Amino acid sequence: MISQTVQTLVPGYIDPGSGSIIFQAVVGGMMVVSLTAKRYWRRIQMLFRRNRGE
Amino acid sequence: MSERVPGSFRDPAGFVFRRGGGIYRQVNDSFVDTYQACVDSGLYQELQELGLLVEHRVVDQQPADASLGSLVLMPTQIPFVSYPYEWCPGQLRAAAELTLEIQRRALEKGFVLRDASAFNVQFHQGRPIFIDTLSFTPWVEGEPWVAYNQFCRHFLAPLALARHRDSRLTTFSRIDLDGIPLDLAAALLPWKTRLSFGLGVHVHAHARSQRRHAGDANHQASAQKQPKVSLQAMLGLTDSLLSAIRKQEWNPPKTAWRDYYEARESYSDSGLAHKEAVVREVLRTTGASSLWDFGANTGRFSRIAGEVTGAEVVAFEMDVSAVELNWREAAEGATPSVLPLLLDLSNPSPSQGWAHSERASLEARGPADVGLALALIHHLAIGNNVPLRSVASWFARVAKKVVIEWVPKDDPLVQRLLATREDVFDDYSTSGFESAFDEYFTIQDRFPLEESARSIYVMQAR
Repeated sequence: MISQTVQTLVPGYIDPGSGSIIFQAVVGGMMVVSLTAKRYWRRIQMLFRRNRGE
Repeated sequence: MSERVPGSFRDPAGFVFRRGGGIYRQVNDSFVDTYQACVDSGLYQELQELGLLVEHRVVDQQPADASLGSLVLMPTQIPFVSYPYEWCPGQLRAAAELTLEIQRRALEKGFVLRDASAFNVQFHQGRPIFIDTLSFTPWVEGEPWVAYNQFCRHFLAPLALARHRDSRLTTFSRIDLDGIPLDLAAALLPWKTRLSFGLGVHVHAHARSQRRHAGDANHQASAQKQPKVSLQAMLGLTDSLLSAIRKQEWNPPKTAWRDYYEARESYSDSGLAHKEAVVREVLRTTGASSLWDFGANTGRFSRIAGEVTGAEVVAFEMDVSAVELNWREAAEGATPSVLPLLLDLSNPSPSQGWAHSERASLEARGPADVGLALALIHHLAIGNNVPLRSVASWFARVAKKVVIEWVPKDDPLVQRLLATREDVFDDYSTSGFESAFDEYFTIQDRFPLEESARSIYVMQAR
């Protein structure tokens, strides 16, 4: 039962630490949201620039 | 006859061993398929062409432990192995950036770093280089980065402490070889660092998450929470760490040692020129392939020594500002290449880690062909009360030949050391110095320096 933990689910020879594993999933998710937001923001900016150019 | 390198025992993928003066890496059978996958993907080739990963070739050598595997690699030999607690903040930052660059390129090829230890990086010819060829494994979509926490402990925490608290804290890794625990770093960092995105997330919030989940191993419930991390998230995490690392630039404050030569306290221009000429002359004939410069300051004489001998000089200095400036010059491509390292000679790096042998002491990494100690002995003998005989005995253990600048007691800088304390150094005289060193060395030459009472001695260990 004890072996059914977060630590043993990730292969590797170092202990990743369950707090770090859970935390990086959150941070990674934040990064994806931030990158996606930036990408859309750039598209919106380009759209406005194009409209202004016309 | 082969001997396993004591620091290479944790990873079941393989290990490093010495044989006949060379360093080799055995790849265990359990890891051969992964190694081959790295080769086939072109990852090794890409990293090696960019100078990020040490080059290696498969050699026809007997494995050190045939029961574990038969594949043996020979990497490019690194002349001097240094440790993170001997690096200045600039070197640690360069090593961190290298690790993240490698992680990013590995991810793009479908691999991931299995560890992110600062000990996987060495410095060679003014650049950091990754030495652990077996640190890669195929990345399975959704799998988190096992080395995230290790990266933060080994790199981000010490750099943040140097930047925001005190540069002396980078040497903490000498106490805890697996990096600075994040809860400790969070407690030591100023409160305002919680407001910076990189440190607020990767150190403070990360430490809180570790605390919160510390008991997960005892709860079956956590088995349900296997988090998934997408490739985008992995790349985003790498970028975010890189951005945090880049913000931890540490600028060396002015110190007496950093500005030693500019201050011109010890030498006139012509006196310094004469000293340089003497050092050049005495080193020219040594044929040294390894040269350690003790008390190297910003590396002025280390570079002269490198130029004259062709050796990659290791420049030891206890002032972190001086080491940082020396490193910046090396990183900018100054030739000849010098390896600046932080070292307090009154307490040099010990043998430590598991079984007292995981990380070698400075002495165990020698002896050097030549030890250079210019205007240093008085700091050990008077500044640290080390008897001259003991200084001589130690130098005989770390160098086969020494070039020493002797500074007599009536020199203004020695007088400054004595200004605030009782002179209990009756043996500190030119004859006392010669007699102490005569026990361990043969004095081959002595060159009095112009416009000063100082002299340069050339001595061969007995």
